[in-house]
Amino acid sequence: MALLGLGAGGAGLAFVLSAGFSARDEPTAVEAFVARRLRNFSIPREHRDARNPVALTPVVLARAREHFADHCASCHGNDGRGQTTLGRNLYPKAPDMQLADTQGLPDGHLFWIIKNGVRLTGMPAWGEDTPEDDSTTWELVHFIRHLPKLTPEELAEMREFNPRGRRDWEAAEAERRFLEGGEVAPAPPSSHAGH
Amino acid sequence: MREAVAILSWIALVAATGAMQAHEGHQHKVMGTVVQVHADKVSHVEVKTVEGKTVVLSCDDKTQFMKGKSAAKLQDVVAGIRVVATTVEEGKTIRAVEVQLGEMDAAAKPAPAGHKH
Repeated sequence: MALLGLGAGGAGLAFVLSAGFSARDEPTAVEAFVARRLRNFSIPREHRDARNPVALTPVVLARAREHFADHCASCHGNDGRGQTTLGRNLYPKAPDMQLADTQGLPDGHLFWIIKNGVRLTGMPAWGEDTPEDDSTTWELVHFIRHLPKLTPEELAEMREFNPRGRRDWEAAEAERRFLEGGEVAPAPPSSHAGH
Repeated sequence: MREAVAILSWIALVAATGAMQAHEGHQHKVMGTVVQVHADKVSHVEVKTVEGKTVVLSCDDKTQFMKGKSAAKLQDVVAGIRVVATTVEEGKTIRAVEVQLGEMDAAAKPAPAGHKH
């Protein structure tokens, strides 16, 4: 058994030395399984089962939608599917939060991940340890629950709140003019949508 | 000895990950006019870009179609319409994540009927 381990390790080492590592890789099933278990261990039990203390209202949802578009969408995408340049090239990749792997997590679990981040991933800890920031985080939990029901109109509205630099604004303006039938502007420099 | 085996086994696991590289590309924008649409299980939209290239976009059930701030459908994509698509490259396929629909291209509009005297 030890010889088998040494052999596999030696072969692995030879491969690593020749091929190197890349964040483009997809974690193996074993690695993903172990990482998920470790993430679950990182959350104290009493926090894991916490219920959302913020009442869900249209105003709360609108505020969370705007907050998500401004702070989270660069990696997760406005729709939470992680189909962004950053999200697709992180290691591990940003998850599709509309799916059961995320939607099946308890509220307290989602809250903890947003507030404390996840070590050795691209997910940082957000906000300070204040009641105001906690309330904002709970509002985001409501929004994450809403992701599978997001409408195209909500998505269009979120786009207005996505962070953009001057080049992105110029590119967006050129696209708008083009769609409205205007003259074709020179190719915008930010042809990488996610950059 | 055990530690050495554990470390080397971990390297083997990580190396196996490295062997499964999936080089997926960046998001790109495609701006152009629709030439034709092949609607099937995975639909293909042929677009002539403003740079003069022809690009075929793969659209599936995850592709979002928008007209301004309203939802649209694949059926709204017709030859001659201007589009701006957000795409990702998956191997040789260019998959459309989102397609914004615009006005009909002036060059594609049928010429107005002439006056009859």
